[in-house]
Amino acid sequence: MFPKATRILVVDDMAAMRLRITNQLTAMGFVSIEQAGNGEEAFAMLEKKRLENNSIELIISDWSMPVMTGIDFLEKIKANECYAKLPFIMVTAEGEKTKVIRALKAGVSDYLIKPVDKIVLEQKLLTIWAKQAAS
Amino acid sequence: MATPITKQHQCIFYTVKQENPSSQLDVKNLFNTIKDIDTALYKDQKWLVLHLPAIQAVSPNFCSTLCRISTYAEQYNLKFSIIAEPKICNLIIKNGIERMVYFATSTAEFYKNNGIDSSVSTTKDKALVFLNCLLESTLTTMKVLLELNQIKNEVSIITDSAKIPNIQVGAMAGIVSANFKGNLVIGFTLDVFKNAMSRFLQMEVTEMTPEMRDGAAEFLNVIIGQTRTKLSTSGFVINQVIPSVIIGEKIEISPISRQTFIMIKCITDIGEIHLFLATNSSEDN
Repeated sequence: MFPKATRILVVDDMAAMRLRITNQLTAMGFVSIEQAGNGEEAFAMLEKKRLENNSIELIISDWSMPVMTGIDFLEKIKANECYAKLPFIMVTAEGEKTKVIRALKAGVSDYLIKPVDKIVLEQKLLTIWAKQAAS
Repeated sequence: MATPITKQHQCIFYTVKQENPSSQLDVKNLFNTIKDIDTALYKDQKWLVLHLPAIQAVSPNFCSTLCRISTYAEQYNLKFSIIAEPKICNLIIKNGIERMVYFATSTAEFYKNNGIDSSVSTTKDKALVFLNCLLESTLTTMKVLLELNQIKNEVSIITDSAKIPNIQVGAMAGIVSANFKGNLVIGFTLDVFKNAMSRFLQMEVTEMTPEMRDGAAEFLNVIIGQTRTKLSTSGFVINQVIPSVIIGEKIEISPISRQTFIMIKCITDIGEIHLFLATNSSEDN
């Protein structure tokens, strides 16, 4: 499992959903969780944290957001060599195949469909960590 | 093993997806789940269809469960059908239960063999498909987001605004499809909303903050998202307008004369939560 000190960035335009995921992660023992309201804010946060030598190590992002969507944010970070290997979980209200395929092609680590359950989130984190450890 | 239940064309579909082909099917759970389906789901249905798209083997134990399901379906005057690959159908037939079961190798073949018109053609049919998906999505969303143990839905058509309960917090979103347009509203009393948000955020909520306001819209977003996903498998596309949150002492929700106005009352262990669906009358389409 990811170490409890892993620096996590939660991105969602809905403050309530950011708070829910943050509380779920806190209940799992994670202590370093940042929040952003859209892809643009999230990218600025990534840059700021990197310059502070405090880089984000895992991103959990919603798909549908104003200003910069989750998929645009994912594509932007995968095109940047500083962040290309960052694990990225996409969260969306819909499980349409075309969306899943687009996210997989863009390099998403895993995919969560709302309503997100804490146990499912924990399971996804375990899977991603196991994949990372194996590679 | 995923076991979603869907209702279409007077058929109740029960799909068994064996995620790990080497694992054994939990036959006891299979029968118990079918047995536990709310009897209201059987109302006006003609078929109970067991769809086994990924089953690789059939054990005698599984065949005996199929016999029990078949007998159970008979009690509700339902015909029982199995949709599976030819080799699986043959294995089941060899176990001697073909007399009670209608076999098909695909959903399309099942519809064709049994003379079922599977095209959702009229606006009324589509609205019904939408309503069923909406009910299932509401149930799933509330169970997971609010960790509800008990939830019961009551659906009614409202003609008199006096019968609409008091709402203090709500969210409203427009829905547009090729066949109908409408509005979906989720409504809570303030106390129920605080209880709901406490469960949703997993922390005690005592006052309304901007995060709390977002919560009502997020419930609606997730319900509509789930509904859209379920509908997309039936080739039915709906678009959604971004929800708005409404907060007030006594919000009045009223039907207008040309609209069909449906209220879904969700009776839960944290109180009653209401969904309102207003759509155009069929003459508009």
